[in-house]
Amino acid sequence: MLFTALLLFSAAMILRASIKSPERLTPVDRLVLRATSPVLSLFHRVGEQLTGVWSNYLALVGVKRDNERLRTENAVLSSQLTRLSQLAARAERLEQLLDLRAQIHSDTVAAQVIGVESSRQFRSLRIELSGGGLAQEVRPGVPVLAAGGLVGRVLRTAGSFADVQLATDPRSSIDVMIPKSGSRGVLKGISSDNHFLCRMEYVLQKETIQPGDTVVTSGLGGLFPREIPVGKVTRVRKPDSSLYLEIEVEPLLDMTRLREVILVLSPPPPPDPDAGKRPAEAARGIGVPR
Amino acid sequence: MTLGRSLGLLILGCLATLGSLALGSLSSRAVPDCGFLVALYLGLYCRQPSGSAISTRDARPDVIAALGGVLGYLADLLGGTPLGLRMLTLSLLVLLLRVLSGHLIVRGTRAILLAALLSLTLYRCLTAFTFALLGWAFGSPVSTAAFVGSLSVIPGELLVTTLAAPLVFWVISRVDRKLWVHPLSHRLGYEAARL
Repeated sequence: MLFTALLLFSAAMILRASIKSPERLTPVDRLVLRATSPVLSLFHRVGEQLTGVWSNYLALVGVKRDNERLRTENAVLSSQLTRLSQLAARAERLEQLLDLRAQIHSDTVAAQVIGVESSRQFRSLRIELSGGGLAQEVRPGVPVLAAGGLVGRVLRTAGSFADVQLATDPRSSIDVMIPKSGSRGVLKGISSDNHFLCRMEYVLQKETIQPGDTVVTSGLGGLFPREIPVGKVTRVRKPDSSLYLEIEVEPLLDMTRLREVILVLSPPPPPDPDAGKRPAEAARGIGVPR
Repeated sequence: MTLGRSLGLLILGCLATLGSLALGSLSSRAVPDCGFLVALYLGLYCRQPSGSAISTRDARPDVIAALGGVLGYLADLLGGTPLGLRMLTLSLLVLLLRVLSGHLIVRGTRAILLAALLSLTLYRCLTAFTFALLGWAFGSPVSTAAFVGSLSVIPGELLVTTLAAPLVFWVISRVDRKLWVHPLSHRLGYEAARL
């Protein structure tokens, strides 16, 4: 009985000391902790192994359901990602169109490409105009541009729709020049099965033309604005039986991937010696394609 | 109570305490307090109500209090509770159970479940009240929120420990059977051999 009372009293005293200074450990406490730690560590490792076996091999009841749910989520998110990527690409294209419109200083109408002529003999696009009242001003011959270069010209119109004759169409004929050498010529389309190609004609053999040279519109004839990039020279040949070079030009634009274009309504301004010294004026009435 | 049985149950209690701690580190949920269940077994089955085995099986109060105290001390030291808290309360509890065990026979799953439930409730409440009382007496009062918080975690522990009690008791009784052999079985064995 005395021993029991002593034991209880000791426990109370130990508790009192622990409450007053919880951080204090006696050598016996340290010894016990050191002795039990390896056993505790062993138990923990064994428990971890067992838990791993349980969670990785046995407790897989909800995995199939989770898998199906995640697959569904993945499909939805992939769809959203694709849609957002398309929207981002479209926004980028529209931004480039706005930049182009600011450079032109003419009234423009935006349009969306809704169809491409499947025949390889004729290269044309069907576009839908979205310029409101300005769309009524679109007439055959109006230049059509896209971010990055010249597309072609309007061939015919029908209400808010129009057909565009591409620069690569064999019927197309555009006055162009090569800024590097100052050479002028006429760009005509070539019928080709797999490529959109043009030919630059009436360039004398004495001119120095290199593959890679950029071809731009000359602005002569009053139809197209000046210095709109059209394509790059891909091949130059000097035939013996002709005065002129045979120059093959590849359009800068990928005509198969055109989505939005702009139409330049008012005729291009005459050459201005002070061009670039004045701030650009905003053109009126650009529409945003749907 | 023989020395071998005392040491065997003590080691079993230590291993059970360590096992519960290891289990607690692997699970965020409540885990059974196996150390307590060993102490409960000690308290409930330390005495033989009658018969010739009473002298070898019956545990003296000081021995049973010491065993409970050591198990409580280990639980305090490893569990991070104030040293001496569970040492004191577990000693008191096993002493109380020793007194009751002379009048109760806990046999069968339902009886074990009930005994575990009531004992653990008493033990946890005793621990919380002792801590609050001694904290107040020794100039380190426990806040009401901390006190209520210490009581609020009891139900989960109660449930899992109570449910684990029959299984743990079964394991301990198997070990205990190895540690303590009924004297009559020796005699019967001797007589059977002689025959």
